[in-house]
Amino acid sequence: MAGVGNKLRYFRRLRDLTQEELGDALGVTRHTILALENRKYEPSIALALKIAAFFSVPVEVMFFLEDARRDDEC
Amino acid sequence: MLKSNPLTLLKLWGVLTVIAITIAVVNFLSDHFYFMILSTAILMTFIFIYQWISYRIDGSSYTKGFDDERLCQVSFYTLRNSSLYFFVSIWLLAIVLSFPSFEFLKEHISAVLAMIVVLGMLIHAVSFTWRKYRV
Repeated sequence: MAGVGNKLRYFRRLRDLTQEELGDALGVTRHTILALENRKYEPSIALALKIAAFFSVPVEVMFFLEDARRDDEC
Repeated sequence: MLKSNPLTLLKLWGVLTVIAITIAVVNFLSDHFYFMILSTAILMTFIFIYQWISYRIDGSSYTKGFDDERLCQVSFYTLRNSSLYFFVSIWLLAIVLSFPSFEFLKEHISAVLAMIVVLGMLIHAVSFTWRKYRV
Protein backbone atom coordinates (compact mmCIF):
# COMPACT_ATOMS: atom_id res chain seq x y z
CA MET A 1 0.00 0.00 0.00
CA ALA A 2 1.30 3.45 -0.90
CA GLY A 3 2.08 5.65 2.09
CA VAL A 4 0.88 9.22 2.37
CA GLY A 5 3.67 11.78 2.46
CA ASN A 6 3.33 15.43 3.41
CA LYS A 7 5.15 18.75 3.39
CA LEU A 8 3.94 19.80 6.81
CA ARG A 9 7.38 20.40 8.30
CA TYR A 10 8.39 22.54 5.31
CA PHE A 11 5.28 24.75 5.48
CA ARG A 12 5.42 24.99 9.28
CA ARG A 13 9.03 26.21 9.17
CA LEU A 14 8.11 28.60 6.37
CA ARG A 15 5.60 30.21 8.72
CA ASP A 16 8.10 30.03 11.60
CA LEU A 17 5.67 28.09 13.82
CA THR A 18 6.48 25.59 16.57
CA GLN A 19 4.73 22.21 16.66
CA GLU A 20 2.90 23.39 19.78
CA GLU A 21 1.61 26.54 18.05
CA LEU A 22 0.48 24.61 14.98
CA GLY A 23 -1.22 22.02 17.19
CA ASP A 24 -3.04 24.79 19.06
CA ALA A 25 -4.20 26.33 15.77
CA LEU A 26 -5.46 23.00 14.41
CA GLY A 27 -6.93 21.73 17.68
CA VAL A 28 -4.64 18.70 17.97
CA THR A 29 -1.76 17.81 20.27
CA ARG A 30 1.87 18.51 19.40
CA HIS A 31 2.47 14.74 19.38
CA THR A 32 0.08 14.44 16.45
CA ILE A 33 1.97 17.17 14.58
CA LEU A 34 5.22 15.35 15.32
CA ALA A 35 3.72 12.01 14.19
CA LEU A 36 2.47 13.62 10.96
CA GLU A 37 5.85 15.19 10.22
CA ASN A 38 7.63 11.90 10.86
CA ARG A 39 5.03 10.09 8.69
CA LYS A 40 4.07 7.83 11.55
CA TYR A 41 0.42 8.83 11.26
CA GLU A 42 -1.89 9.43 8.33
CA PRO A 43 -4.52 12.10 9.08
CA SER A 44 -8.25 11.87 8.49
CA ILE A 45 -9.68 13.72 5.50
CA ALA A 46 -11.06 16.39 7.84
CA LEU A 47 -7.67 17.06 9.44
CA ALA A 48 -5.89 16.99 6.06
CA LEU A 49 -8.31 19.62 4.71
CA LYS A 50 -7.92 21.68 7.86
CA ILE A 51 -4.12 21.65 7.54
CA ALA A 52 -4.26 22.59 3.85
CA ALA A 53 -6.70 25.41 4.58
CA PHE A 54 -4.53 26.70 7.43
CA PHE A 55 -1.52 27.04 5.14
CA SER A 56 -3.70 28.22 2.20
CA VAL A 57 -2.39 25.53 -0.14
CA PRO A 58 -4.31 22.87 -2.12
CA VAL A 59 -4.56 19.61 -0.20
CA GLU A 60 -2.72 17.73 -2.98
CA VAL A 61 0.26 20.04 -2.52
CA MET A 62 0.41 19.36 1.20
CA PHE A 63 -0.29 15.59 0.95
CA PHE A 64 0.73 13.13 -1.75
CA LEU A 65 1.02 9.43 -2.37
CA GLU A 66 4.66 8.50 -1.95
CA ASP A 67 4.61 5.92 -4.75
CA ALA A 68 2.99 8.38 -7.16
CA ARG A 69 5.65 10.95 -6.33
CA ARG A 70 8.42 8.42 -6.98
CA ASP A 71 6.80 7.62 -10.35
CA ASP A 72 6.75 11.34 -11.18
CA GLU A 73 10.42 11.69 -10.35
CA CYS A 74 11.29 8.75 -12.64
CA MET B 1 -18.30 19.87 30.71
CA LEU B 2 -15.81 17.07 31.36
CA LYS B 3 -15.29 16.37 27.65
CA SER B 4 -14.33 19.95 26.95
CA ASN B 5 -11.95 20.23 29.87
CA PRO B 6 -9.74 17.26 30.85
CA LEU B 7 -8.22 19.40 33.60
CA THR B 8 -11.58 19.40 35.41
CA LEU B 9 -11.65 15.62 35.05
CA LEU B 10 -8.15 15.44 36.57
CA LYS B 11 -9.25 17.52 39.58
CA LEU B 12 -12.38 15.39 40.03
CA TRP B 13 -10.24 12.24 39.78
CA GLY B 14 -7.95 13.65 42.49
CA VAL B 15 -10.89 14.15 44.86
CA LEU B 16 -12.22 10.62 44.14
CA THR B 17 -8.71 9.20 44.74
CA VAL B 18 -8.51 10.86 48.15
CA ILE B 19 -11.94 9.38 49.02
CA ALA B 20 -10.83 5.92 47.81
CA ILE B 21 -7.62 6.09 49.88
CA THR B 22 -9.63 7.12 52.97
CA ILE B 23 -12.05 4.20 52.48
CA ALA B 24 -9.11 1.80 51.97
CA VAL B 25 -7.40 2.97 55.19
CA VAL B 26 -10.66 2.62 57.17
CA ASN B 27 -11.23 -0.85 55.66
CA PHE B 28 -7.63 -1.86 56.39
CA LEU B 29 -8.11 -1.01 60.06
CA SER B 30 -11.41 -2.93 60.32
CA ASP B 31 -11.88 -6.67 60.92
CA HIS B 32 -13.11 -7.45 57.39
CA PHE B 33 -10.31 -6.55 55.01
CA TYR B 34 -10.85 -6.78 51.24
CA PHE B 35 -7.99 -6.65 48.74
CA MET B 36 -10.26 -5.16 46.06
CA ILE B 37 -10.79 -1.97 48.05
CA LEU B 38 -7.07 -1.50 48.61
CA SER B 39 -6.18 -2.33 45.00
CA THR B 40 -8.86 0.10 43.73
CA ALA B 41 -7.32 2.89 45.80
CA ILE B 42 -3.81 1.99 44.57
CA LEU B 43 -5.00 1.88 40.94
CA MET B 44 -6.76 5.22 41.25
CA THR B 45 -3.57 6.70 42.73
CA PHE B 46 -1.49 5.29 39.84
CA ILE B 47 -3.91 6.72 37.27
CA PHE B 48 -3.89 10.11 39.01
CA ILE B 49 -0.07 10.20 39.08
CA TYR B 50 0.07 9.14 35.42
CA GLN B 51 -2.43 11.85 34.41
CA TRP B 52 -0.60 14.46 36.49
CA ILE B 53 2.73 13.60 34.81
CA SER B 54 0.99 13.72 31.39
CA TYR B 55 -0.39 17.15 32.26
CA ARG B 56 3.07 18.39 33.26
CA ILE B 57 4.76 16.94 30.15
CA ASP B 58 2.12 17.75 27.51
CA GLY B 59 1.42 21.32 28.60
CA SER B 60 -1.36 22.93 26.57
CA SER B 61 -1.70 19.75 24.47
CA TYR B 62 -3.15 17.98 27.52
CA THR B 63 -6.43 19.88 27.31
CA LYS B 64 -6.84 18.87 23.64
CA GLY B 65 -6.37 15.16 24.32
CA PHE B 66 -10.07 14.23 24.04
CA ASP B 67 -10.51 15.94 20.66
CA ASP B 68 -7.29 14.68 19.10
CA GLU B 69 -8.07 12.07 16.39
CA ARG B 70 -4.73 10.27 16.75
CA LEU B 71 -5.13 9.87 20.51
CA CYS B 72 -8.68 8.55 19.94
CA GLN B 73 -7.19 5.92 17.61
CA VAL B 74 -4.45 5.09 20.14
CA SER B 75 -7.10 4.79 22.85
CA PHE B 76 -9.13 2.42 20.68
CA TYR B 77 -6.16 0.09 20.05
CA THR B 78 -5.19 0.15 23.73
CA LEU B 79 -8.74 -0.63 24.82
CA ARG B 80 -8.83 -3.55 22.38
CA ASN B 81 -5.58 -4.98 23.82
CA SER B 82 -6.65 -4.68 27.45
CA SER B 83 -10.14 -6.07 26.70
CA LEU B 84 -8.48 -9.08 25.08
CA TYR B 85 -6.29 -9.53 28.19
CA PHE B 86 -9.32 -9.36 30.53
CA PHE B 87 -11.31 -11.78 28.36
CA VAL B 88 -8.51 -14.35 28.28
CA SER B 89 -7.55 -14.00 31.97
CA ILE B 90 -11.13 -14.25 33.29
CA TRP B 91 -11.81 -17.35 31.19
CA LEU B 92 -8.51 -18.92 32.28
CA LEU B 93 -9.41 -18.20 35.90
CA ALA B 94 -12.86 -19.77 35.38
CA ILE B 95 -11.22 -22.90 33.93
CA VAL B 96 -8.61 -23.10 36.71
CA LEU B 97 -11.27 -22.69 39.42
CA SER B 98 -13.19 -25.69 38.09
CA PHE B 99 -10.35 -27.97 39.26
CA PRO B 100 -10.66 -29.04 42.91
CA SER B 101 -6.89 -28.79 43.50
CA PHE B 102 -7.06 -24.97 43.24
CA GLU B 103 -9.00 -24.40 46.47
CA PHE B 104 -6.31 -21.91 47.49
CA LEU B 105 -7.38 -19.59 44.68
CA LYS B 106 -11.04 -19.79 45.74
CA GLU B 107 -10.11 -18.85 49.29
CA HIS B 108 -8.18 -15.81 48.11
CA ILE B 109 -10.38 -14.89 45.13
CA SER B 110 -10.44 -11.21 46.15
CA ALA B 111 -6.63 -11.01 45.92
CA VAL B 112 -6.57 -12.94 42.62
CA LEU B 113 -9.16 -10.65 41.02
CA ALA B 114 -7.33 -7.61 42.35
CA MET B 115 -4.08 -8.88 40.81
CA ILE B 116 -5.79 -9.46 37.43
CA VAL B 117 -7.26 -5.94 37.46
CA VAL B 118 -3.98 -4.28 38.51
CA LEU B 119 -2.06 -6.15 35.81
CA GLY B 120 -4.73 -5.27 33.21
CA MET B 121 -4.57 -1.60 34.09
CA LEU B 122 -0.78 -1.64 33.93
CA ILE B 123 -0.93 -3.26 30.48
CA HIS B 124 -3.44 -0.59 29.42
CA ALA B 125 -1.32 2.30 30.73
CA VAL B 126 1.97 1.02 29.29
CA SER B 127 0.36 0.24 25.91
CA PHE B 128 -1.27 3.70 25.73
CA THR B 129 1.92 5.54 26.73
CA TRP B 130 4.02 3.53 24.27
CA ARG B 131 1.74 4.28 21.34
CA LYS B 132 1.20 7.93 22.33
CA TYR B 133 4.87 8.91 22.61
CA ARG B 134 6.38 6.59 19.97
CA VAL B 135 6.60 9.17 17.20
